[in-house]
Amino acid sequence: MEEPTFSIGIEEEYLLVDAKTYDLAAAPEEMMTECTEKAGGQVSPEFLQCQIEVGTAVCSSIGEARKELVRLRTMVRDTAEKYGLAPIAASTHPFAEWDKQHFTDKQRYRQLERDLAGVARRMLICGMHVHVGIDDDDLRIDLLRQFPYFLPHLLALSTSSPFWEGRDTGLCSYRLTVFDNLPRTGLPPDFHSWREYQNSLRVLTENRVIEDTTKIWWDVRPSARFPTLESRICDVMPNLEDALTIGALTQCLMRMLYRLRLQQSALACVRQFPCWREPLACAALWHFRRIDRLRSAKKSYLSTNCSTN
Amino acid sequence: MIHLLAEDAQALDCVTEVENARDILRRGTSAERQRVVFTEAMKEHGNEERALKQVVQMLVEQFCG
Repeated sequence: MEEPTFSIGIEEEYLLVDAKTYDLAAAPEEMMTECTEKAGGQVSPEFLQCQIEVGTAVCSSIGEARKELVRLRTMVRDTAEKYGLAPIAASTHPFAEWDKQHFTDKQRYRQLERDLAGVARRMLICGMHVHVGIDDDDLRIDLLRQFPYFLPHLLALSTSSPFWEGRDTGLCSYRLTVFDNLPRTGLPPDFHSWREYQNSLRVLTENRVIEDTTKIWWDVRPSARFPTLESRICDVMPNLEDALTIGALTQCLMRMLYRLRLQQSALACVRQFPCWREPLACAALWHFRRIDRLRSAKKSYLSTNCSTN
Repeated sequence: MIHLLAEDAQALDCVTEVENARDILRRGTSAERQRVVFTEAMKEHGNEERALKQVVQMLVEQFCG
């Protein structure tokens, strides 16, 4: 098997606010058109009219991803400014009300609204997704099984959604609590091969549970569009350097798991993980969306036995 | 985890970015920063609505660094 490229792609979702009042504001159609003219398919509307999404090109290094994100963030900020708006990279708006927002009038979003009703309408949240290039199908599934051990670590470093509708939620990532109301979210099932994964998807599509795999929203998933594994656990971060750190950690974690696999080795904590992945990772994910001091986390899950065997 | 990934960070040319995780652990995430701004604003003027707007103001300022 050839070594994977471990290429990286980063998607970020932003909220738009009125530059004077800081209230949430819908993106005018002209603004979306202008952004699309400037960045092509790298910018798109999202479920709600007050959201906008950007995606880097496929990058061979985090340095390339940095240039892409700087360019895209600058373009969105400058374009929004012309319309009296400003973007923020936070997973919730501190005081906006979800039931006052309007969803984007596109076929995909109309259908989501129909299918998921009140659950979808509460999705006034933004995330960051990191794609890592892994061409081999079975390797992608193997890493899909191992990677969830590190989802709590990544979440803990990215939290940006403590406020919801004007109140301190007591959580650091309230976004995940809102998002988990959707079906087909959370940890991925424990697939043992690409074939098993494909068969499971076939059951879902043939029974019309979903039309396609873009409607699977696990915290990490094989991308429906690219030969990548896509981590979706993180809050979007206002600080660009922090976002790049999450991107780099995701890329390195995948390479580390691959490297140990080549040595027919694995981290003890990951090797043992299939036995207790659900209760442990769920507990850790809950803990890390709640804690308000990262230092206290270092004593528990973050420092779990990571020797190799 | 940073120690565990040292070899990979070298190979993928992202040592600086991985090392920045220590800074996040030291200073806290955006969630913590947002709470600090809110708490300080409340101490200063006691107006919740204004304090929340100050949080958004900070997020706007941080967007492009």
